[in-house]
Amino acid sequence: MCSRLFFFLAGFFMTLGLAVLPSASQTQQATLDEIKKRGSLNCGVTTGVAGFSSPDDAGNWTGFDVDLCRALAAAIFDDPTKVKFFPLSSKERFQALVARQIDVLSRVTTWTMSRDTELGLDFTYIHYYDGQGFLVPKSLGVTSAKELDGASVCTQTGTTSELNMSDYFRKNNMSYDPVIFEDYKASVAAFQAGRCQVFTNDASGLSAVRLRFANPDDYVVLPEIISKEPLGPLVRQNDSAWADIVRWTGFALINAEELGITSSNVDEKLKSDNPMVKRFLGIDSTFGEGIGLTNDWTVRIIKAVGNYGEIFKRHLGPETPLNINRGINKLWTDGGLQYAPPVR
Amino acid sequence: MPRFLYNQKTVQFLLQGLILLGLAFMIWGVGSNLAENIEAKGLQFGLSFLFEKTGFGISQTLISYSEESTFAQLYLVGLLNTLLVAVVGIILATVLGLVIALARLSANPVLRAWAHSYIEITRNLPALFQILFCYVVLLNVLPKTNLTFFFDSVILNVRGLYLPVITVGYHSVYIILTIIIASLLTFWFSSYLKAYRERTGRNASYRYVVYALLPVAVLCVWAFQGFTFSFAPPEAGRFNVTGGLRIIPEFIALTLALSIYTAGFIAEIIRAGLSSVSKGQTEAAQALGFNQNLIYRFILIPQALRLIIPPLTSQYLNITKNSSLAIAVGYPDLTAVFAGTALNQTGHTIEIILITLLTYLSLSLITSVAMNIYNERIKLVGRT
Repeated sequence: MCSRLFFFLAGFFMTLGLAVLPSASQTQQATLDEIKKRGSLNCGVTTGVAGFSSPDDAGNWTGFDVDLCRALAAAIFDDPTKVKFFPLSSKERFQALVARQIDVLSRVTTWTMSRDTELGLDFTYIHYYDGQGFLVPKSLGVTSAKELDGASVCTQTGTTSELNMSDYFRKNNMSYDPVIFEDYKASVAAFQAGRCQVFTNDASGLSAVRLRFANPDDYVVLPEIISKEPLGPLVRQNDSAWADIVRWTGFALINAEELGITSSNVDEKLKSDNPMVKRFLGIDSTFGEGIGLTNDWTVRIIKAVGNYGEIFKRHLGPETPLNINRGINKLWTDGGLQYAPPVR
Repeated sequence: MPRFLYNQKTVQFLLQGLILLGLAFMIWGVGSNLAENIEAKGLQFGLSFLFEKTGFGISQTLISYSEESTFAQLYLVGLLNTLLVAVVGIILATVLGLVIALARLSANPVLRAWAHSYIEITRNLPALFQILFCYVVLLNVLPKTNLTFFFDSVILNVRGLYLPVITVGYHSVYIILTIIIASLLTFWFSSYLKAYRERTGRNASYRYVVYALLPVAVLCVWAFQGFTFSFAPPEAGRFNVTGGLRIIPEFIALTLALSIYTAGFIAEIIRAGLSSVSKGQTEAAQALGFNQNLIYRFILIPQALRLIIPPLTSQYLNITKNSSLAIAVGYPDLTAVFAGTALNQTGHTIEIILITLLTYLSLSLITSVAMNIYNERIKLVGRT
C-alpha cells in the first residue's frame, strides 16, 4: 500500500518536472493574430473614473479611454462592441498587460521613462495631456497649493501622483502627511470623511471625483498644476506591429479632426476630391493593409467613434458634468499640443 | 527481481530519492522558465534597487525615515509597522478572547448569550469587511476639529490621537529597555527564590532584594543620563497638529478590527480547552474548598493550556498574515509600502514579492517556534 503511494508521487513529480522543461524557443503569438483568433479585443480600463472609463447602469463601459478601444475594435472587426473590458486597479494594471490578460491598457496612465523602459511595456502615443493638481474643500480657505504646509493628502498607491506630491512638497519646503490607499473609492471616502484635507490626482481625475460628492461646488481644484502627466495607451514590448496599430489609430482620430472629418460626414468625404482626405480614408492608399487591417480602417474608426474632438466633447465637453476645458488638448492648429504625423 | 529490491528499507530509500529528484527537477524547470521569460520580456532583475532613494513619504514610521531614505530603510519601516500591528493585535485578541470564553462558560445566561452571538458574528464575517467597517465608523466618529484633554496636552481629531512626547533621559528607549531587562531579571530571580524555598523549606534571607531590582535599575540608568526629563505636548497648527506622539486612525482601526475578528476564534479555542478538563477536577477542587477564581487559576487553565496552545499558534499566525489587509485602509505596513508602493515605483515585482513572502514566512516561523517551545514545556508527558 505504501509503496503504491510512493510510486504515484514519484511519477507525479517526474511528470511535472518534465512538463515545465523549457521547450525549444516558444515564440509568442503576435497580438493582432491572437485578437483576430479570439474575436474580441481585451482592453484594460480603470475601476470607474467618470468621463474616462466607467460603466453605466447596464454595465456598458463608456469614456474617453474606452472609445480608443472601441476605435481599435472597429478598425479590426468593423464592430466597436467587440471589446471586453477589464477594470484594473493602479497596482495591478501593468502586470495584467505583461501577463497577456489584456492586449492594450487604456487607463489614464502617465508616460514616464521608468514605466517605458523597466516594465517590458511600451507607450504608443499621448491621448490626453494632463497634469497633477490638488482638490480641497472650499471650507479650508486655501487658494494656492503653496499654503498646504502640514496638510494630510490622500492618493492611490503605485501612481505618479504619489511621487509628484512628495517632490512638490519637498521642493517648497512643506511637510505633509500622506495617506495612501490601494482602492480609489477608499481614498475618496477618506477624503470625504475629513481624514485628509487634500486629494491629489491628475486634474482630469479630480474633476471626475468631484462629481461623486453630494455637493461638488463645495470643492475646488487648486490652480497649481505640479507635473506633466501625458496619458496614453500601453502595449507589450517586442510587438511593433500591434504598437503601430494602436499608435496610428490614435493618430487617425487626431488627423480626422484636422481634416474636418466627423462621424456624420464620412460618407460625404468619401466622395471628396481633396487628395489628403482621399489618402486618409484609404481611397488611393494601402496603409491599412500595410499594418494588418483593411484599407478602410480610418472609415471604420470614424464611423464608430468619431474624431478626437467628437470623443472629447462626448465625454469631457461642456454638456457633460465634467466640463473640462480642452486647453492643451486642442489641435496644434488651434494652439494646443495634439499633433499627429500625417497619413502618407 | 534483484535481491536488494526485496529489502523494504532499500526500496523506500530509492523511492524517496526518486521523489526528491522529481521535485528538484520541477523546481529547476520552473526556475529556468522564469529566468527565460524575464529576459524575453525585457524586465530587469536584481537587488540593487534596494539602495536607491525612495522619493516618497510614509505616514507612520517607527524609525527615522525621509524621502531621501533607501528602499532598504523603507523595508524596515514597513516591517516594524507590521510587527507593531501583529504584537498589539496578538495581545489584545488573547485578552479579549479569554474574556469572551469565560463569559461563554459562565453561569449567567445573558452573558452566555452575548458571548455566543459575539463569536458567531465575528467568526462569520470576512476580515476585510470588518476592517473596512471599523475604519469607516472610526473616521465618521472622530471629530473633525480638535478635541483636547488634560490641559491641551492630548489632542484628538479625525487625523489621529496626539499624545505628549515624554522623554526620560537622553532617549526613552534606554529606560524602556532597562525596564524590560530588569523585569526579566526580577522574574528569573523570583523563580530562583521559589526553587530555593521548595528545596530547603526556608525563605532566603536576601529575598527582599527582588523588590528593589526594578526601581534601582531604572534609577541608576536615569541618574547616569543626568535625571533629564522633557515633556513635549503636541501643537495644533493650521491644518494639522505638529509634534507629539501620533497614533493614526488607520492603525487603531486595523488593530481593533483584527483583534475583534480573531478574538472570536480564540474564544472558541479557549472554551474547547477549558471544557476538555474533566468535571471531576472541578468537583474535587470544590470539595477541597477552592473558590471559582482559584479553580480557574490553578486547576482548569493549566490543564486546558495543553489543548489551547497548538490552535492558538495558528490564530497568532493568522493575525500576522491578516495584517497585510492594511492597504485597504491606508495603513503603511510591509505589504502596503514595500509590496505595494515600492513595487509599483521600481517595477521589480518578482524580487519584492519574494522578499515579502520570505519575511512573512520568517515571522510566522519565529512565532510558531516560540509557541512550540512553550508547548513543549506544558504538554502532557506520556508514559512511553
